[in-house]
Amino acid sequence: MIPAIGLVVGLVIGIVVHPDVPLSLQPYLPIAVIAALDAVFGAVRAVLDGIFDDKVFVVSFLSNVVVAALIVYLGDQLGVGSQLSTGVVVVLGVRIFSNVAAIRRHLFHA
Amino acid sequence: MTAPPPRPDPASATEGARTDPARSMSLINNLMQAPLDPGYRAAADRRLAAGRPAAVGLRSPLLIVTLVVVGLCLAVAAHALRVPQAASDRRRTELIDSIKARQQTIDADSRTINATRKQVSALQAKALEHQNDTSLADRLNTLEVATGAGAARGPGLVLTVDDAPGSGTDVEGNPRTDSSDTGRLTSTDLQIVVNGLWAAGAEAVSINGQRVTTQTAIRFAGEAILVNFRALSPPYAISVIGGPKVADRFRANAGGAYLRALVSGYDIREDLATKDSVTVPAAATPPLAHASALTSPSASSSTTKGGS
Repeated sequence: MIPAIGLVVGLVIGIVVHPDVPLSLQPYLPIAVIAALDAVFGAVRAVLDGIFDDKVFVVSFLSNVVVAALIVYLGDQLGVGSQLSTGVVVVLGVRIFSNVAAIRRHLFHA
Repeated sequence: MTAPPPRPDPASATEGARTDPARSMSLINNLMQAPLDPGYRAAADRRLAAGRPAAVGLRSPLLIVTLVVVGLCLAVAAHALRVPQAASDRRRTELIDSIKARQQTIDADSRTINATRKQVSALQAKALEHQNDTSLADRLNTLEVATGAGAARGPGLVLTVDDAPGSGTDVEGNPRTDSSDTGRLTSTDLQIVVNGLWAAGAEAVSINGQRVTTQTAIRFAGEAILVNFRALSPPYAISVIGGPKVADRFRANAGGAYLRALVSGYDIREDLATKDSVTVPAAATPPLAHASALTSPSASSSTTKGGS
């Protein structure tokens, strides 16, 4: 329950403060969001599997975001930024969906 | 692509003798079947080996701080990526509103100009009546018709030309991105056709209600054809006042030949109808601020100032 409150607190802070993101950072935001969601769903599944570890979660979150941003940056430099972004979204999206499927099996046994 | 020779690698050897022929393509399978970060399992195994429970609690400050950051990240991203869309939409509607407002101003001003012009010509006629000088009034009428300052009526023809069928604007309604625009009339086509009509003996010409005078330019902006700086949309109806031979002479001269080539080569549509009475509107001729007559009709002494 406490982690969910933390998430909500973060959302509220973001909505209330809504800091301006520099234009140069904006291409990385969607990818960062997908990477963060992937880490969060992975963590929820780990909790339900009974093998959750906070350090693994933090490291996977940070590394996901950093690697995703790196891929987008590299793609921008190579001129294939949108294609690489699509690739990242597809891979992380598949992972998110299969993690969600596992969570669903845990919660609803269906 | 030939499959690489099956090479026994230590990882699969420990799992068993079975080797999957699709091992090299197992990336998607891995992704689908083992989506969870293997780090969780490894950490749990380590803890179990150390005699602690497999999972740690959900109350560690690190976790909560990270989740606050995740929430912040989500909110900021949603906010940052949503606002520019709304802002660009707002700019767009602002521009559209501005265009509409200016268009209305133009329309109102044009109405004022037309009303004032009618008043001026009425007053002019009245003044000439007072002077009892019919020759001056006739001369004025002739000049007005010739210069385009006055509307004209007479026998003539209406030549309607239109883009080839199917060369309309594309799905987005943007003619500029349309690739199949060879069937589209250009300003040059219209110029050549109108020049051909003048050469055939036309006395007054208007295109879609825009009188073609000595100050008229037929040009283009983007894909739209401008006459008297007004954008016209197809079909282009060219009203011509002239004698009965204009149509035949136009068919015979270079302008007519050019139009025939457009019709046969590019599917441009044309329709020439001879009319007993064609009305050509007056042009919005701007007043001449600097040019003055070389020989003014009232004073025959040539007081030329700054002539050519």
